[in-house]
Amino acid sequence: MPHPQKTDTFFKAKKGLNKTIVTQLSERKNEPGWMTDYRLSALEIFERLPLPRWGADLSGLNHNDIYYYVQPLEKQHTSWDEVPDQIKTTFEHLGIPQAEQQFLAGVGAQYESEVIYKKLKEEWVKRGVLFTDMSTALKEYPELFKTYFGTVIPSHDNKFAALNSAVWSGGSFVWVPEGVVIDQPLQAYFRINSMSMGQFERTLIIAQPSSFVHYVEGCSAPLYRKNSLHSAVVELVALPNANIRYTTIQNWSNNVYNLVTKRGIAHERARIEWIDGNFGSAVTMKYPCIILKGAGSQGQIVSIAVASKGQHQDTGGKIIHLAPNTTSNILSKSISKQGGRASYRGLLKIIKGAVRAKSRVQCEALLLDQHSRSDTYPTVHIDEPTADVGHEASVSKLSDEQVAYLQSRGLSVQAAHALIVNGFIDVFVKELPMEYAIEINRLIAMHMEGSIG
Amino acid sequence: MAYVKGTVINQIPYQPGICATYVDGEQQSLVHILISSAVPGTLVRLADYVNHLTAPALVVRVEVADHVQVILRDEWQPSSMLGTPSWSVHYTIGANAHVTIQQYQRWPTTLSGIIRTTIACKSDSATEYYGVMRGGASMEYDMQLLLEERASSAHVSLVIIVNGDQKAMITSMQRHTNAHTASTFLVRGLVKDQAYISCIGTVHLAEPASAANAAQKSAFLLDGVGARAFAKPILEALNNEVSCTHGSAVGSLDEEQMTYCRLRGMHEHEARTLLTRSFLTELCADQVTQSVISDQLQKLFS
Repeated sequence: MPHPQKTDTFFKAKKGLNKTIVTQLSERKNEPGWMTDYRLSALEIFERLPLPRWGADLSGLNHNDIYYYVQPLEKQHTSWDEVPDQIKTTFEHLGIPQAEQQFLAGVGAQYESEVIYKKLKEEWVKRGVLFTDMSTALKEYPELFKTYFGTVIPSHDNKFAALNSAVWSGGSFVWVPEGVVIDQPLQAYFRINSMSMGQFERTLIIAQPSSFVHYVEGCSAPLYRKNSLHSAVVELVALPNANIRYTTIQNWSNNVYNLVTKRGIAHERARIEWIDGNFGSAVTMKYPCIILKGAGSQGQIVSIAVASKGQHQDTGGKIIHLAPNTTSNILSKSISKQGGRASYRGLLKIIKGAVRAKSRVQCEALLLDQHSRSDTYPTVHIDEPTADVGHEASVSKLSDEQVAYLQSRGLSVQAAHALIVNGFIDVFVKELPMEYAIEINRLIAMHMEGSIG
Repeated sequence: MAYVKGTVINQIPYQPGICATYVDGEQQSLVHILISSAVPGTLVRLADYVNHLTAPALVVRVEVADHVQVILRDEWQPSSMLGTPSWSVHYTIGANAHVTIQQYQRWPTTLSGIIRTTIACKSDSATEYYGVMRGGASMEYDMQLLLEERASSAHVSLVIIVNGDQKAMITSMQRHTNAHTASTFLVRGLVKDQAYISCIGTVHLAEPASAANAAQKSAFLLDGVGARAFAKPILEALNNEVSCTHGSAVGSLDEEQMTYCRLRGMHEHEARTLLTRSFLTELCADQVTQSVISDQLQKLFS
């Protein structure tokens, strides 16, 4: 896990949330009036909606003890050389080799609620791809921004979507023109780096017809004494024949409440994939959703959650089939250890008229000790008789037989356990870009230390 | 428990080794059947002990003593067309007992009701349950498997058939609170026309349930333009020394299989009946139950 870096902040609003803070935030960002109104309206919804009564325990979350907006001292950079050494050190701690950093197609690093670094390959700019932070997009592409912002996840969707809508800051805006295929993934790293600071990035990705984009985000945070809140909103729009893949590895410190709303809409023959890895945090509640709106569209969710001592990973996926010949697949894996709790919570809904819709859901849980817990709470709702749906779930422990076999081949018990766990998550790791596969191996190795054997 | 009428307590010694007492009420009747001994394979028909009762709500407690091997058949039919009949049977299976429960109920199409079945298992007991349920405008089926003592097991195979505008709501709980316990809950449903079926099943493996083995599977066949299904299989594991799976599937008849049958000279109606029957009886090892399913399908498709 990266070590904390001391950072001077440029502007920090008072703790807590009210109309003054929201207005102040909007004014500092020099936003148009409609956005200020949108934020204030969302604040009212946030205040009106109760905390969810299901899922993880959120009683330790104190909304009045959180900074809702912190703007960093550093300004936005366009060249890698201009990035301060302090920030580069942070990337080093995230484990990204320099060579790979240079290789990266474009990087937007979320540092204290602002995107401070971004780079986009020149050929992509020439091809019309927009990859910028949300505030810039609001200023430079107002019509495009307004057309899609909040259309997939409206502010009244849930309490934390309302919160994000009121105080969003930073996040990425991606617009891929028709027919453009981006070969290399767009990457952004996010980091909480101030005590009790809420982070409310908002990401919006629009893939025009027949385009392809792979967006990757990774999060890590230093350990602080007071609870932090991370409440992001991610909206994806895949227009006909487009393909969006969104990969996340979240590695929050153990005091963070990670409450995220992610949803994508797939139009005709479009495809959306969520690849989601959840480590760390005190509580994670995250259920990436795909709405298969167009005929022939496809959705896939592959996720892994690791719950350690004092952690509750309440994760899952939602897929809603609204059109004929749509297909979907959810694969969820979880590891619970040292008293941690991992829960899968999912929804699969096929409405009447979504003829020949097909879906498969598979949940696998690994319990590493007597004190841990694993739950699955899936919901399958089928209103279309021609649908073909399957759901499977299993809970198991490390197989004694496999351990004995590996020991007979000369491995220590510890090494055998680690190998089996790596095999368990292999399906997920295979979906990741190489540098993330390396990082997740490090995370797993770190998490396994002292937990088994 | 409040009774409008009925302080009469009767005893019905219909079969040797079996003692039944009851309290008859206007709204609810309570029956207690104690099976203290039986020749292995003895068939006990619950209807023999309750058919004379007229209350819309019946609560039956069946207690099977230790080491007893018996077959319990439950074919109760609601006798009242008023209100919402409810049928609750609580089985207590003694240590080392081996019990087969056959529950076949067909309710009038116009009637809505509740059927509750609880099976509490003592140590080293084995219970097999086979159920076929059909009918009822809006039916609630609640099944509780309580594996409270070491090495007890309960295996349930339930078939539900709904058609027209009927609704069937199933809830189940497999609660393992002791070591080396085993349970399965398998439900298959045929949903025709505009009917609706839902299944909310929970498997709970408590911390003391080491080496427990639990499985829960629901599969529904939708055979009608307005047929709908809802499934929520819940799994809660608080012990890592367990083996636990659950699954649910919803689909329609396989067109390939239909074509195969048609190519071998079967009429569409015959092919449909054959495939439906094989789907519903696939997981049911009990011959009597299989014939009940076939009989119900014949009536449904004729």
